[in-house]
Amino acid sequence: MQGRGKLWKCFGWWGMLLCVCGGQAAELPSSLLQRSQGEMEQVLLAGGPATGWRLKAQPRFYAGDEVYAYLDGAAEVPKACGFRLLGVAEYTYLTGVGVKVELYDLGTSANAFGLYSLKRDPSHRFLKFTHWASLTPGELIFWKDHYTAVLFTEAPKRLPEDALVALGRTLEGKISRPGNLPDLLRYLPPAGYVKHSAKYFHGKFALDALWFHPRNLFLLDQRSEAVFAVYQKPSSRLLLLRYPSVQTPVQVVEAWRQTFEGMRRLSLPPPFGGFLARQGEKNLGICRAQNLVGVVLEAPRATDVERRLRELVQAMQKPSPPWGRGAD
Amino acid sequence: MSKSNSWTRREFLQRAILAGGGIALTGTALKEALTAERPKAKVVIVTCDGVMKDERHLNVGALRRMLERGITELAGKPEVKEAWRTFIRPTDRVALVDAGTWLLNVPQVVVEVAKGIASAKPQSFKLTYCALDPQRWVEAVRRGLQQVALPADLMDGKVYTFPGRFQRHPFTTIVMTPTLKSHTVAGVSGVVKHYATLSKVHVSNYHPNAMETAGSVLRSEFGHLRHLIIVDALRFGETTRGPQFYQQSLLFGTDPVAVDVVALEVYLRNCRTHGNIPPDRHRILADTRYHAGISDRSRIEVKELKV
Repeated sequence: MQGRGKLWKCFGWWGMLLCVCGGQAAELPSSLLQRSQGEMEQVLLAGGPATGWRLKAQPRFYAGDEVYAYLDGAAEVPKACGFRLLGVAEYTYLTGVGVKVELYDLGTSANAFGLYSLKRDPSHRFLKFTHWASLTPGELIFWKDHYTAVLFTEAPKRLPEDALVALGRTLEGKISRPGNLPDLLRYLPPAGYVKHSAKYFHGKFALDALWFHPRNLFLLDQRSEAVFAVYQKPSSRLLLLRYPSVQTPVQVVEAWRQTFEGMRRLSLPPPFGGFLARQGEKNLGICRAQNLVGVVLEAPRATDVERRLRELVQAMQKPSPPWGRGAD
Repeated sequence: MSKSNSWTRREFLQRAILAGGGIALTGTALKEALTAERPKAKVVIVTCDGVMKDERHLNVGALRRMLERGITELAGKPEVKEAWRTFIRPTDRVALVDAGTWLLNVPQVVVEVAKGIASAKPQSFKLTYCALDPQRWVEAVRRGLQQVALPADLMDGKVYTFPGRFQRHPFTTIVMTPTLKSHTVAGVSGVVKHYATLSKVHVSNYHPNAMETAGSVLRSEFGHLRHLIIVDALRFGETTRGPQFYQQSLLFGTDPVAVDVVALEVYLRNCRTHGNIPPDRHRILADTRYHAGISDRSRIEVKELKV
């Protein structure tokens, strides 16, 4: 009987996993795919006029699950951002150094910001393109409209930084529309936010790298939206979730209550409900209202969690205007 | 014979403690006594400062000495050929598996390992390189094989595909030269994750939850084979950014899980996991859930050498 219970438990988790992970790839109709590929080709081939650069290999394209053939496990990150199509071109600089250009079609500008946001870090250098672009030795990442571009070399010491940036700007110039940042960013509390730390995504794969739990506690899938952000004074990490259904936040809070210890109900203005909890030495907190869930994943003290949670509630009640181009 | 008459020393010790039989063993001594009875794995780390400081400068002579020192130490044999014969038998059908894309092997590592395998004269031998390896790397290996008088037709790019086709071949032995890099799904890729990549079903099936099921492949698809793992830790990588840190080591072992656990330890001395993903999780589960090898560090004997 005990074994049977275990079997059910096991099946239950696998079943849930299949439901959550299944059918993530947004299959694109072939006509749309061709149009998208045509547009991307124009961008990828546009680097030729940049001083000192020459196209080494014609673009290759990967749609849907084909992206695994190019990226293996790393494909889960663009797939957590609504991945549709990847185009890869290779350029050579006059010093002989090669650069790969990856151009991702993510379907929406929110998702394009999402992939960019998952690859940047506040410690990077940021350059003003149409939006902010992230620069580290040998790697430039930018987004515009529903595209995210990653330019990288394995020999950063032999490639002048200016040359990489010039190639990036030339390619970016070929994308006409700017695109907007995700609406969900408006619900982040402004006080203490660490600039360039917000990360926008959909599935659990992206969350794992930010906060790992073996279970899909937040019931994340391609339809749910998530923003993760870092705060200072006191240092803390916030997660904001929006679901298509108002039922899911109820289930999420219930799963949370069953998972963590030291659960304490927090008095919040209606319609909000919230709890403080502990995970070993770490303090956590969660609140929900309608189709939104706010989570404080880590803060030094329980009082800090409570403060952050109340700030989250305020921001969820009265979101800021949409974040503009230079905001993040 | 009744079971009570055929206790192992381990069972005897356990029962003696349970019965409070007056044997005064401290917790540590008991643990050591019990550990001593359980199977152990051996891992050899060979490091050579100066073997490789960047991609353009490799000291091939030093690499060869590292490989010879490691294989003889692992085999416990003084002669190199004899050491290779410890792992590769005349009846063996061997697949040498390269590291695959994003952190490609240093081509000479694959060439030198191929030379070692060939010296043991197995019944058959294929160098199964990854179908996605860039052509220039494949050409570099091909040239290297010619230089050590091995036929270029050893190379077969139709086995290590996605999904893998290893099950279609009657291999008896896998020799693998994986590399380590930070990895967006596994935390840090390595040996156990590499076996999942070779699976007959697509590796993406093993991606969820920090690749917690990766070790199942080692047991279910490769459990009947013998393994020789030579981790190419000349340099470590970072996701898709290629070589980032020149560790200048090779690691040797026959237990894929044990080698991976030690390789991770070496990796974490100077490099980081990807984000918050626990890189030891899938390695430990390969042992505790799938019984595919040893992850318990107290049961892994590590010999660290410099040449």
